[in-house]
Amino acid sequence: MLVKKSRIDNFDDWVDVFHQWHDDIGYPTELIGKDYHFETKLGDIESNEIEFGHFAGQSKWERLTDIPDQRIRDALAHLIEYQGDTEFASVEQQKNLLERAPTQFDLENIIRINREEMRHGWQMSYVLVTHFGESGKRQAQRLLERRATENTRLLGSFNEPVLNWLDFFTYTSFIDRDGKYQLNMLSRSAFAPLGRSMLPMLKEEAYHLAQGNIGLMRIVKAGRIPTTIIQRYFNKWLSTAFDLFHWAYIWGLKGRYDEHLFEEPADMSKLNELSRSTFFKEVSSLVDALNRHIPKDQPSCGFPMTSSGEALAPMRG
Amino acid sequence: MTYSVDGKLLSQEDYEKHLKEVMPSAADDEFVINLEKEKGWILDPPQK
Repeated sequence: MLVKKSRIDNFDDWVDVFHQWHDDIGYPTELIGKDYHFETKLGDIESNEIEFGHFAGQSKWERLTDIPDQRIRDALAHLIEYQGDTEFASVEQQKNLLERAPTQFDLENIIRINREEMRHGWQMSYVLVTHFGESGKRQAQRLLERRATENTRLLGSFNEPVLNWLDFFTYTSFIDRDGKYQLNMLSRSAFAPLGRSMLPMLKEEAYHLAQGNIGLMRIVKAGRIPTTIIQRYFNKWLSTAFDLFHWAYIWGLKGRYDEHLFEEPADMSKLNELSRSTFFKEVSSLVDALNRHIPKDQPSCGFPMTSSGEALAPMRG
Repeated sequence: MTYSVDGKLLSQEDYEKHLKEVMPSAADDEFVINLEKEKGWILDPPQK
């Protein structure tokens, strides 16, 4: 069922649609807490100059009209829409678990994670509505009209169902970790309002993936789920975790992970491999830590990788 | 082009078989959901 409001003229209108979306997906808003207020948060960017790409050294763009090429404006809006789409999708994927939380601690955690993902979607919508004119308003509205449950979200990972708590912890450990990479790479964007938006989001996202990893460790240490089953959930999410864009680098929209730490120029032909390789190393150390707690009579866990072991391979190429 | 989880190129037919082996099945989902009803399937969380 689509939300009822037919037109968004300003951000207040978008907020109305956001509340309708809660009703439409059946989210129990009473769990979010009366003290929590959805709000736009902006951090301080470290440099006012574009840090990489063709326009490096020029002033960062504060307004859409500062961006020198329509293709760059379109690509930027596209990136923001994709990011926002993932945020709302994750809530739709996970809300069915609220009634089956293992402990009060886990219930409070999933509520926190859900509301912060909603806030991230709010933030992306704010940028679209405030800076991208009529097309941005339409894009922000569509973020609340697609549904993970109807397979209409923009990326594969965000249409997969999250059916149980092993699923949830695997998702938050691996897919939210991918999300951290996306936010990090956007945090140095030439479009300053996007960079400012990323910093508070990154702080919140760090909590999500930490909870995912702790949850996986609690499951592995309990030893009640065979690792062959755990492995299949790893395959499910890791095989969809590599939608890492690279084409926006030259325009300064999206950098390498921890772009500010690089001294050498980017090798444009290997940007995607670089992102995957960094993600691979991080996930690898997490899986190694889990494996140390797997009973000796059970196989250890791994992750989808090429036969040469150099880089991760998607299930579909 | 379709690949196995260890990077081998597979035909479409083999790929479909492979997916059934390496992805969670309905039985896996049901197993975990049922296990969630039992105590001790997951350790208690660390104390805050």
